[in-house]
Amino acid sequence: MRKILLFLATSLMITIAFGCSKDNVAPSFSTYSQTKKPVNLVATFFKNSVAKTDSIRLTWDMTDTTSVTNYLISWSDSSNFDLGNVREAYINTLKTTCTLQTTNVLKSMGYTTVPDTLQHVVYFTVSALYNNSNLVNFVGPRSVVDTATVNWK
Amino acid sequence: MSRLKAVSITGLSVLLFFSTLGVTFAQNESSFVRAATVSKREAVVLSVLFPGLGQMTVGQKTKGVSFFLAGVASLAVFVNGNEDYKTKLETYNRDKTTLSAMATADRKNYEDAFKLYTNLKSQNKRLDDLHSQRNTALIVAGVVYAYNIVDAIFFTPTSNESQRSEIRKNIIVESALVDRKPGILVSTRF
Repeated sequence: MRKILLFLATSLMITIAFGCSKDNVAPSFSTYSQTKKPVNLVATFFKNSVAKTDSIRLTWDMTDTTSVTNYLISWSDSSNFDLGNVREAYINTLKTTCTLQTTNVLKSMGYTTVPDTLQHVVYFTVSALYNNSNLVNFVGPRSVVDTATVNWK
Repeated sequence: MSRLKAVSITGLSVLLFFSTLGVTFAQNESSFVRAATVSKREAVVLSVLFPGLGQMTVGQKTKGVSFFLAGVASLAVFVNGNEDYKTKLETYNRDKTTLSAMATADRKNYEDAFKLYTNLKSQNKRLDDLHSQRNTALIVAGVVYAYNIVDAIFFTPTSNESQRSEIRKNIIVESALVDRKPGILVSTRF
């Protein structure tokens, strides 16, 4: 009986030892973890009643611009975002500022007439576009969202 | 150690333990041991074919059934776990390739890559669990099989000529008077 128990105990230990080993390799995220997100995004609405060319100015910071070729700006409002609609535009420079025409921004979200509300909140984010030996036109992580309040009148 | 892994290891260990108890009780209870009608070699061959068959044939029913059930259960868990593992490993490898390809595919974004990576991590954890379950079942099946053969060789009663003659000794043939007429009485003791 003692020999049997000894045999089974050894077998059980071998079972646990082999059973707990793994043979599938864990996934790696190292290629993408080198990408950084822009910081300090500020979206500001500028009213220009005279020329009727209202604009939204975006500024942000990007400390490490290694492999960054340009930026992607995304915007939406609460109604569009709920429907899964986010508008995007690529800025083909490495400048960390951008000015968008308010009319174009609103039109892109489907607003052609003045809505009931006189103010409209638009959400903006910025991502860096990476290009190097490992990444081809890869859109990096998004910055923290900032809002611009558009005054219609 | 995940819950699934713990449950599978515990379950199979309990099964193995009870199969051992079955062996012990079967050896102690003479009521389970009846005269063997097959040779020891035949019993060993049957045990090699599948755990418990040899023991059942020589009359050690409890022991044989214990080995048989332990063998069937561990093999069933292994086959099921192996199929599940292979299917999930295929999906996992495909998703891993997709994640790698996102780096060079045009205009793919970090958020989608991160979502896929998170999903891959949970898939990897599930694969680890299935791998352990499969290996455990396989090793338990191996141990049951090995012990079944050891038992068939060393603990199974021999069925030799002396035992067969012993069976024959129990059959008594003698002369007797039945209804005041001479005749032959054949009786047997079980």
